[in-house]
Amino acid sequence: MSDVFKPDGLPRREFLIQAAGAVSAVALLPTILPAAPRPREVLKVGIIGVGRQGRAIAVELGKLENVQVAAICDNDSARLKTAQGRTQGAEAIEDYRKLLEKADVTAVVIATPTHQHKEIALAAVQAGKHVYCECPLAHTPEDARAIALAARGSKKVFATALEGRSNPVYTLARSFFRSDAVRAVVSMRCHNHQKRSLRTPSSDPAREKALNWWLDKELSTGIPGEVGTQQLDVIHWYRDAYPVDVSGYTATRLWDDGRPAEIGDTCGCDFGFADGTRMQFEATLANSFEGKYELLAGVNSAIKLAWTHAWMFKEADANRQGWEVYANTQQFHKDEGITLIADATKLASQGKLQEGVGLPNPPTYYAISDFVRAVSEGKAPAAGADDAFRTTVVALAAHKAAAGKTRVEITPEMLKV
Amino acid sequence: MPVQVDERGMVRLACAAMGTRFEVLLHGGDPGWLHAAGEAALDEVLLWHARLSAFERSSVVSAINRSAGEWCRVDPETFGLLRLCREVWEKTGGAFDPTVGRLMRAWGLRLEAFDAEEVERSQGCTGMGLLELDEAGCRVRLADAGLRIDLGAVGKGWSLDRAVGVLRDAGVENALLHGGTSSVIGLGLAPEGRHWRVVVGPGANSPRVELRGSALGVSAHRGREAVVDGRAVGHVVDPRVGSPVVLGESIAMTAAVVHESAAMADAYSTALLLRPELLGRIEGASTAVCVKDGGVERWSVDSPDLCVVESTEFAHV
Repeated sequence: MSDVFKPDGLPRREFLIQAAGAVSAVALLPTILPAAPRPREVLKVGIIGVGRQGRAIAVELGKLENVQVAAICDNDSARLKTAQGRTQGAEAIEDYRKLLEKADVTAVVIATPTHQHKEIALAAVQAGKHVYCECPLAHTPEDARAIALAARGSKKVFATALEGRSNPVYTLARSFFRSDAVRAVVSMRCHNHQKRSLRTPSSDPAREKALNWWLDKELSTGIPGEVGTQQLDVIHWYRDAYPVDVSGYTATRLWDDGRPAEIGDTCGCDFGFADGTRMQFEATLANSFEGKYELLAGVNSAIKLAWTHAWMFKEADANRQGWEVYANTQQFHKDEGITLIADATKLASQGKLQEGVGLPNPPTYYAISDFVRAVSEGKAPAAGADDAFRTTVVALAAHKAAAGKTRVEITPEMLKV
Repeated sequence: MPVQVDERGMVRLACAAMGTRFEVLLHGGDPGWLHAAGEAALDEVLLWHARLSAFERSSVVSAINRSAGEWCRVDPETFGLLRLCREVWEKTGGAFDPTVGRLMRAWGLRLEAFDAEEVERSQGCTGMGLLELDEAGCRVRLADAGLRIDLGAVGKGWSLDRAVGVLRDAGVENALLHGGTSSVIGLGLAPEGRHWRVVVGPGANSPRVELRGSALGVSAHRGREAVVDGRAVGHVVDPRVGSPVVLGESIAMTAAVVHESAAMADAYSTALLLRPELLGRIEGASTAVCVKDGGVERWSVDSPDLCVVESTEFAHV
């Protein structure tokens, strides 16, 4: 792990060069929308866990040429039956070990409840499969470390679902962040508002307990883990640094349905970084206002990231590069955001910059495409097990701090695989 | 705060999707469980909003439109929806046609302003026959590069069909779901122990329908009309002539279809609006209603007189 990101040590104006004309300036921006991967031979994938996320991944895999969802697996037979009706020709298997025995299935997606990841991931590595594992990696640091160690020992691809790292708009925004466009970081915020209980229904009480594992305080990663992991990782990735401490609280504001107070429905965490900067994580399941975004503010500008969109808000005294005049903008009350557009070069040359606002596919598409590309082209994935291990440790520390309404230190030792 | 139930013992949830408000009403069990089931059903609606929206760049529909002229891989479920669309297009003689996407935009019925030149250019850029479906490869192709699809006339019903599936999987037996009140499904019984009842329209003499485990789809020219050259035009484009109707002319103004599938009810109600002569000839429909300026034409297998509704608290076009 590298030290805390130091703006002065970074290359300045990596790609933003002053230019007189709009198109010539835009043309200097990198082309970052990757072409869809297309394995030379049909890649047969097995999906273990076909709840909401497993299903979303199946949909995105279905968009890729020469990729086949050959098998699906879930120990909940009702869910498995429903999922089979939604996939084309996939074999339904209740026991993941049977799926791992299938020699023609060379890659597996692990989208089970978090506390089941370790057993399945280790078995998948043992079986010689390429693995794509959902995040958080595990519900304890020990399990997360065991997965990361197994991944290091694997001769196959081990990718993790830290979706920001493969998101083209986030990649573009990160290039700005790491140039002179933002400069010294002033503040950071992760905002996650949604109005839903996050309780899974079942008419069978025994099944309901299993389906609502994340409301079980022995198994839960809390709100920071369940809804915050992806966002926390974006901050880690942008800054190339991890926090050194976290304090927090949790409360139940709406869903007083018997869930443990340690989990609740509303949570706030305050993270400290070694350079003295701080980051706030604010999440609730009781209000949906403004949804989900991350905000990184520096002395020159602020960058707002909202998964399918991203904007840059320049300070009035910040240097202008020229191209801003021609950029697509959006008004947020009194602030004007420059829309960050992936593949601006190509679109600008076609006079279609406006059509490029927003990602052309959901973030999950890019994450799973990155995995398929890593498998078919022998490249390292955008997010590996070490990255996921560290972010998981941070999320679990945040859950501990919030549940106990206390401060938790995050030491370098804790972040060592 | 525990989950709240209304005076009829129902749990209510809502979400914003597909440019309107979806609502689920449930009863017959623990409120917490019903709420969780309703939440899962609305999650399904939101999932389909993300896939079908013509306004979201990351939707499957946008991907198909962007790749016009080229093959585009889609997920099996979306492929199934497109297959259904082509089936209804064939059976309605082209009155239901999701390839009117470009015309909808050109006429100012989406986000863009009316564009007379684009209307001219878009003429002829319709026809589900130009949407090629490759079953084996789960691929679709718009054979004409100028073609654009818009699933607004079937998306709400399709989403509701899937949402009801989620409720059934969760064990829910009684629920009413609607999308913008123009697409409705009744599952099981109302709290009073009778079938769910719905009024089609705001007037005292509006047709009334009883949903016996079935769905209602309503289409109307009015509702989101646009103004073109000083004249109000309806928000449904007739693919056969490439334009929406001018409101005020003697035409059918509302059409409603009861079908076991909400997607079918939606699609057929659009077709019936444009081709009232389909009344009584819609496969699988138990009831159809066509409201014209001169009165109401009704056709029903279940009950020739339709049903008398006691509760009119819900449902209007």
